[in-house]
Amino acid sequence: MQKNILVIEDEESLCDILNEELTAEGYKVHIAHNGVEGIEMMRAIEPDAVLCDRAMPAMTGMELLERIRGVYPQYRDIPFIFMTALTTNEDKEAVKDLNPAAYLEKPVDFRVLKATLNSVLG
Amino acid sequence: MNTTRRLNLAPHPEKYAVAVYGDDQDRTISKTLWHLMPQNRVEIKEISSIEELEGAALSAVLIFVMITSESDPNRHLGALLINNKQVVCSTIALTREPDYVKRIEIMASGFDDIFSADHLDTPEMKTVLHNLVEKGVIRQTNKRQHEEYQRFAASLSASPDAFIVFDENRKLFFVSDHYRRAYPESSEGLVRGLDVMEAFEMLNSEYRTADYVEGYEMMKKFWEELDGECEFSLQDGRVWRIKAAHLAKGLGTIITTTDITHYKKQQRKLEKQSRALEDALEKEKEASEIQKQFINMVSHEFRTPLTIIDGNTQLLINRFDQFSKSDIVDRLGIVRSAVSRLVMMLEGVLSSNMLKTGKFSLSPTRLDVVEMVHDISREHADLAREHNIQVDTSQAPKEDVFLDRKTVALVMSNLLSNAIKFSDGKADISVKCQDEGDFVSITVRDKGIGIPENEIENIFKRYYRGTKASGISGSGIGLDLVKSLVDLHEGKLEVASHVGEGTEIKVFLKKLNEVN
Repeated sequence: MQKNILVIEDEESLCDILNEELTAEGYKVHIAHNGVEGIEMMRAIEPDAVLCDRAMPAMTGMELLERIRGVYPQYRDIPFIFMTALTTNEDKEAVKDLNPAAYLEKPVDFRVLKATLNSVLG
Repeated sequence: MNTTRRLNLAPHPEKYAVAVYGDDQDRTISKTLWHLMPQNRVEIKEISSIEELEGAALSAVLIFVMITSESDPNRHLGALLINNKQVVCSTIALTREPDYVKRIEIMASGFDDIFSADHLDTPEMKTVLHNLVEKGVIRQTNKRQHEEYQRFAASLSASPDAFIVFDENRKLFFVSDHYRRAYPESSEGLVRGLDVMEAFEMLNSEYRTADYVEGYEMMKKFWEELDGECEFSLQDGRVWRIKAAHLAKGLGTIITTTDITHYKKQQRKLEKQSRALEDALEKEKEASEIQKQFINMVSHEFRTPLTIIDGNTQLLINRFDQFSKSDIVDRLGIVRSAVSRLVMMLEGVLSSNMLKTGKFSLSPTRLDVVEMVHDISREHADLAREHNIQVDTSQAPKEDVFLDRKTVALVMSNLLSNAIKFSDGKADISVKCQDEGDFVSITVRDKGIGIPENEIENIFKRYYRGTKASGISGSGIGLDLVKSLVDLHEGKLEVASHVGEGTEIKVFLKKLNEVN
């Protein structure tokens, strides 16, 4: 059965690329452009995995995950993957307690991205 | 009642010396004197040379000189001893000379008195001797006291501080030379027994403190209490510290006055240096923290276009055959846009740095502003397909003008990319270029999140990021760069913004001459 991936990313052209790449891989891709939209779509489609940027307007990826962890405990089993240009140890440390399934650094190698998705979707 | 105490000098020696000099081989005189003298207090010394006598004279209270004949050279010893100021003893000539006139002549040669050696052993003589010994003792004590006093005064004068001593009844007892030099006008009036407050008024009238009223009250209190310490500034800029110390055994109070002008100056200098050092360290710390944040932000900013370049490249590598030619051209167009974005950011960082280090200079170029404004707007429109950028050049300069091309490009690019960044979901952005006489203005207006009023003055500060900017990528150098460039171009900036309604920034750039 086709797996649903929710991509939350404000960079339009990157959304296009991810859409194309992941669709080709057999996933059903849903795109949200910011955190607020992201939560709405999460509730609407209950994806199998979330691929989320961090620095975004309206609501950052970290704020989004905090909200999910706090308000939507029913989504705690949905693997949440950060894919971000925030790459320092401090950046990673800041979200550690939110327990993301993976932390991918931009620019990301699509083979690594696919392997990560495969592994979190078990 | 004058209760001034004498200085507490060394205790009296056990015994006083009485020296006997002259032709007295059978020691009869010595023996006789021994019986007549208060034996527990005197020691009889027989002297055999004049040098020895002169030495003994320093410690003796009484000297007997035996004069045997009219031609005896010793008859002038009295004068010799008296003329020596060190000698404090009484001098007595003894003689067996019966001639009264000759005896007066001997005495007149400098002795205190003359006696007949034959009449030594009489009760009257005993009384006379006792009195003379007493007189010698007093003289010697006075002399020692005087010496002690001189030493005390000299010691205090050797100190860099000035001293004034009051006795236990608050009467002036001693004033050091230094003090007299410090207060030349009052010096004569500073006499022993003067009351402390009289002394104060005298001294105070000679040196006015810088702050007269406050200084006077403070000083008056100090002198009244004769206790503690205080510092005061004189009108000539000197700073003195005055300190009262109580002498042991309730003997009074010594006031020490120290000139601490130099010390204060040094102290102030040190304090200033230390403060400057602290400030510098603090600034250094801030700068390094800001630098760190900046590097993190720049690294983040660069990674985003790199991700787009890399993503498209990976797509093309993985599935080149599946793309049509126009798809490939589109992809490569996106790659090129991301590269331009990188170049623009790099340009911004470099220019900003060059501006900060003074290495950026204007080079006037003949420009078709209308064309340039359209070009830059189009580039940004390509990058932000969700936004609708309207360009109005109806009031733009009709002819070419001389401007610095790089400045125009950087200013416009930064304003446009900010407008795009901070107006997510609000498509309309307008760009307007106007001829303003000596200036060319460019206005960029968005309908985005806006800037809180209290933050507007900060937005042109380097690395400053508004509270609304959280989550929106940016380095915080864009507007700082814009401001620096506008300043360099002798222009100005106008900002109008309302939270939730949008922001309008208008930049004026001065038209340059062909050769600037």
